[in-house]
Amino acid sequence: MTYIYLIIKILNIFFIAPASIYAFLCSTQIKIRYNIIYSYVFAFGLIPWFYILLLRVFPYQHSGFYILLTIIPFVSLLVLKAKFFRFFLNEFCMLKSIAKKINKFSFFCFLFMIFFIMLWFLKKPLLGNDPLQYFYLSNLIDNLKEISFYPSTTAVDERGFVVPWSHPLGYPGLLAWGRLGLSKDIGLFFAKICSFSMTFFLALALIIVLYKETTRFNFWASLLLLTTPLCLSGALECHIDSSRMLLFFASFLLVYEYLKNVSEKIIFQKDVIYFLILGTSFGFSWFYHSSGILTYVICMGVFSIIFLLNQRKEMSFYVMLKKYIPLIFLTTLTMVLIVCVDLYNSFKVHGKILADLENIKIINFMSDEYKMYFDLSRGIKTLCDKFVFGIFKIFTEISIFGIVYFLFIISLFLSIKMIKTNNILTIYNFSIFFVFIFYLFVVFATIAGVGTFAFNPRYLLQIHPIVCLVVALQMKRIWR
Amino acid sequence: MIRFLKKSLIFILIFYGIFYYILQIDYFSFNDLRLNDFNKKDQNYFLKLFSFLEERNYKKAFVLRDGEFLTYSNLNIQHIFDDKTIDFTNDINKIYDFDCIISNHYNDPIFYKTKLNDIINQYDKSSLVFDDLGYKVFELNKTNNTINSEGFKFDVSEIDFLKNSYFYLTHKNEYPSLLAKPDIKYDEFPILEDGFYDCICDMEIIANEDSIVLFSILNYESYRNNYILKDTLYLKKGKNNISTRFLTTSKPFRCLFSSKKHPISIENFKINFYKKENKFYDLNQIYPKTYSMLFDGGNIKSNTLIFFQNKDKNFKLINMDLVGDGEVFLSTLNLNGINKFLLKNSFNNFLIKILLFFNGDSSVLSIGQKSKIIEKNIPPNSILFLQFKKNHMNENANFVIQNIKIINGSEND
Repeated sequence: MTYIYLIIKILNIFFIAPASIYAFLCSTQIKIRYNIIYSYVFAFGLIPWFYILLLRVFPYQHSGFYILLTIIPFVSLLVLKAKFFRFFLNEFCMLKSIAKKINKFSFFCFLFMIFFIMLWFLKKPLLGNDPLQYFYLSNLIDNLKEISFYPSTTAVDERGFVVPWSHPLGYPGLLAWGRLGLSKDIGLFFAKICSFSMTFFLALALIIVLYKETTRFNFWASLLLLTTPLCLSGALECHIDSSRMLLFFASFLLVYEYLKNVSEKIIFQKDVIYFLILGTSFGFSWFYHSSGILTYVICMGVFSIIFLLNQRKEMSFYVMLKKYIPLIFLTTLTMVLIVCVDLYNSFKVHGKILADLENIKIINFMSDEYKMYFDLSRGIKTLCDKFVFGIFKIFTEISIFGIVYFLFIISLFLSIKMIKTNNILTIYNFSIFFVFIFYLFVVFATIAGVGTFAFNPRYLLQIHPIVCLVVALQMKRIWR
Repeated sequence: MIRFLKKSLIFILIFYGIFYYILQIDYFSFNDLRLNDFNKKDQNYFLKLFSFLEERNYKKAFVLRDGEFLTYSNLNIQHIFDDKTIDFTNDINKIYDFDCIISNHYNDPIFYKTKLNDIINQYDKSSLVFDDLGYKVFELNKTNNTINSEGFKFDVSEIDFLKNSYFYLTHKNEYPSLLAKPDIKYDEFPILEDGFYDCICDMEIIANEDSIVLFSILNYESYRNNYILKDTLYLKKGKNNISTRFLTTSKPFRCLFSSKKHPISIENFKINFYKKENKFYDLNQIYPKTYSMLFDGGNIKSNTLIFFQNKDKNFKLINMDLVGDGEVFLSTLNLNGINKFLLKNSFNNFLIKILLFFNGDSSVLSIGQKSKIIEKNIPPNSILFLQFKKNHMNENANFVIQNIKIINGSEND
């Protein structure tokens, strides 16, 4: 039975769910080019979301029940939208044309990285504290088949496991779904594969974007991403970062595509559908981790700036606002609806919807001591330290961020004329603008006293695929 | 040329990222139950600690930060971040409900800014029973026995200012530089009987600013990386009373402080020694060399690896009865052409370990004071590697093979 469950789950997450989402996106007839990317991203969001919903509504059921109910919606959708299914298969023909232009050396290097990670999963245990906690939590969910214990600031089992966070259950939900119905060893391995698939699809997404934007085959973005030490360690140790990066990147692409195709008319059906999709992407970002709210802030910030500036000449301020405000409202509402139960639970237990260490009583009680402890241990006591030893790590710590940011600066210098003269809505200029807004936000947040970005460099990783994309777009010039 | 540069860059990028993990192959050693995250044996990095806790049969433990992995043990745990921890701030005696306290290298404020600090740094209130890999286990003394320990004062003086850090050291006269191997004199070190010691270190440190100080205790005779203790101290501006505890042998050691950016002054630096009653095994009774067979024509030079080569067509079963302290690494490797070639041309253990990582069937077993029987199948035309791992408590692997048998068998055995 274990192997039947495994096959059903592999089919679901890698084929049926993405295919049905793809068919749905095609049926909406909105003009988007990266349906294949969104379909996989939303599959990784929807499956744990369904599973967690089922655990809330029908707890304590047999594993087979949950496996079946997480596949039925996708199969139904696929049957309903069957005529669009062939478009999904057509997308794989693109791989054929990519394969023709492939650089064998880069391709083998890419395969080597994947092989190394797989070998690591087979040979090595989990090492990081965070992944250990997420996997233990997923193990609890899988054993208990209920989630009423989450969140809690006292031990939830006799092993003293504490779950004091306000993060929704997206990532542990995915891992728990990965374990569902499988034996311990295979379940854990499949959960690791699910976690790694996010990095893998992110690397593929970068290849697809570069292929569609430049019509040239380009491996650089994905190679730079996979070889960045922090991303590699994230993949090997099954950290949550891969999911944060993937969802951030999908949201970035959605905003880009909308702005490129923006219509002058005030809200009509396609815009509404588009913003529902965008809101869903933000919602899943938050569902995976509370820091997903950053995706919303950055993407909406960039969208607002470009939308308002671009449309200024073409419509009056009043008409513009009339279009802009309902769109923002709709996106926000969709996002909140996806995580509303998790937010309610967090608020009920902690009195807050966004908090991490602040929920822990002893840290609150000894807050001054802990502040000094965290500041000194991370070397970020003063504002200057926060920048020098925190955020500037992107340049100073090659062992964390690799050489990506050096190449990024070089590519900026090389393309300075292009940035000045060209339209902002090219993938290159838009990516640079996105990176600029992200770091502007990081700088202001740090000055305002938010220490998150200086505290842990992993929070700066969300923008990393976009930085890799910028570098890859300029790689030819860099060689010259 | 550009193509060559491109290829070189890709190579560098890939191996730069992966290199760190390849290094960890040696550090984290091997395991057999690698797929099972909630089986304690999977966490082989902590295997020794798990094995120790199992041997001691503790029931309830209070665990400080970074003890997340202990959720995989059989203990009933209270984690530091549990709301119930706040009770200790009112009544520290509640800690006696637990059998032990498990700490780690994260020196949280609760560790040094509450009365917990008094409990873990006094002989009559607790005893340090495990100290390895930065993890310490303090057994709580529920009866108030008075313990007589010997105390020695040491002078600490500044030796260097390097890379924005101030360095301070004991035994300055005998050992002026960290980079040169000293003339060994033990003039300033107390003469102690052979055995194992539970040491408590008390000191006063005056800091000009809030600062972070790395405090390490190093084996006297080695000049790098042979640490007995590595602690991070968080100091507030002004006078700080610091206590810390560690296990060591009677061999001399030195204490090194390094303070980033800000100078400090260390006063009344005193170490108390208390001899442990635990029986440890004689270091010289190590594995019986008569059983070791070097690989034919092998170029492997190591005094910690033993090899058994099965040249037969049948399976062989090795059966050993081991006692000691530490971990044993077991691995079998099929002797096909490639492996034979690599083994013959490998010039150190590290390369062999990489070979075993990709090809071998490996496992790590933790050995404690109770005798443990190990069985391992050696397939036909294979080689068995057996390595005893060292730590600061046993410079040579501290094991005794009490009994060893090699049994012929078939594949079905």
